[in-house]
Amino acid sequence: MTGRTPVLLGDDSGVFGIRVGGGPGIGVVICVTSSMTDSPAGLVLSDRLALQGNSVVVIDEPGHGESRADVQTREALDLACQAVKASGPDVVALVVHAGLLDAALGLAESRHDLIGVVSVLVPKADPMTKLAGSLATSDVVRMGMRPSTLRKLRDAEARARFLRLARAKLRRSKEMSGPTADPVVGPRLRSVLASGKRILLVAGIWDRATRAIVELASQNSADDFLETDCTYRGRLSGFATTSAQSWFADRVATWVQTVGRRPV
Amino acid sequence: MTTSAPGDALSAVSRAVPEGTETLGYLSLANPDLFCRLLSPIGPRGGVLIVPDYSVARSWSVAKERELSTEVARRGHAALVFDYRGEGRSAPPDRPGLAALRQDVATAFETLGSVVPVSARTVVGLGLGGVMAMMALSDSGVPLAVWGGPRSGCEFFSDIMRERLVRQMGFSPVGDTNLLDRVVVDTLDEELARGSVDALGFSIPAVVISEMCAATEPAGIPETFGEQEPASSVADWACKGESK
Repeated sequence: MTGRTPVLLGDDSGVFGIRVGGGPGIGVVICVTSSMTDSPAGLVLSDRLALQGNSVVVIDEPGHGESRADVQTREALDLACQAVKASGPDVVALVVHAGLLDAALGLAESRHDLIGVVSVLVPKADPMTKLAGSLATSDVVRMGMRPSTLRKLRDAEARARFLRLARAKLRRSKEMSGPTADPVVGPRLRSVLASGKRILLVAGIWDRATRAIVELASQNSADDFLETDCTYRGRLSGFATTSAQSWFADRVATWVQTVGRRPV
Repeated sequence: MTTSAPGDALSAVSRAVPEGTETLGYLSLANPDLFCRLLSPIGPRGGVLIVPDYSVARSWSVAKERELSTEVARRGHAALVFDYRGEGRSAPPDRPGLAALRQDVATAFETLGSVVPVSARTVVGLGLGGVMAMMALSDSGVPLAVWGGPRSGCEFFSDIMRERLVRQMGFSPVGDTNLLDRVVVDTLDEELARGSVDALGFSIPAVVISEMCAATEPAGIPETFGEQEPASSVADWACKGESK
């Protein structure tokens, strides 16, 4: 057995999660977006944390996987915090993807026992992220080349046409991307850091938008920042290979232990 | 709402849904690490095993799995879906490879029989899951259909690598004139040597790629539904267990 126990949280069982470990160390809530892609990375991390004597719950974000869409994200995170604390830990840390950073910081402002937030970071409005998705679908289809028939790219003319389109798109996206310190996330980052809590930002793409948020964080009493070398699209699923998952799990687990020993 | 699980369930939770009861967890005695989702009406008349597409293609198939399981339950039959080992919430296999994936299909089929003890059983495989089901269950005589496929292992991986290539181009700096050559050569060989390949956010063991590409597809697909076929049509077939 893996020691993984399914749980349903909330009055209407709307939030699904997997409980791992049950030690009295630190309570850790990991929220995954897509059960198929994020879960393996989240579960590798949870196994590592459980081995250190911590209590972990990996939940599906509302509207994804097995969690219902009618639950508020912040409420789901709050329910999961209560669930991990039930087995003994006094303090809690959150691991979320970039899109949930705001909700996680909001919860950190209201829960005194929430001592740290790990966010796998690429700002939502990052044009490069959008570009990658659009190149993979719409433009390819518009050019008459379904992803499944991209063997046409071997043809020199089609390949040149595709590259011209890609370069034009990239040029436009570069013009679009200015300093993008998020007006909502920015003040919350400051507020949470000022209260002595810790934030770990993990990013795979070192672009201008990511840099803006990291710099903002570092100007405000600074915290940790990990830059990964793996292909990354804004979710835990960027940690696709087993070596990347292992790297992520090692670093985050170490960070959580450090934060848990630190008085708030 | 209930928090118990049926039969010999090892570790699972259940909740009420409009179609009956949804059970989520580790339902197999043979492999307690295999995550399953069972949607069952009260007193099911039959059981349908839905074999998911593999790896990155699961993103496509997961919505179809839900649609189909709902349609099946509305027709009074139970539907069971599972995560292959190493994916979703199932633990990785001790030894990754095609044999482990086929074993997962066989285990899920046995699990369906134990949690839904009725003789009427059918199997629907999605995409590459159809080929997996044929490999694992062709000797069982169970009625089997493929939805949105089938694709061979080689076709499957070729498609993934092409799409990955296109996406990687989106992350490359402006002005790089040798994107295609560079991206292809850059990492794939290194990843294969390390033992797994990043397939658009999924990790596929190198051994699975080589074994699938070398595997001979089983001949003779009993029933095939196109990708655009509505779930209701597939459910009609699955709940009758007869030819279209």
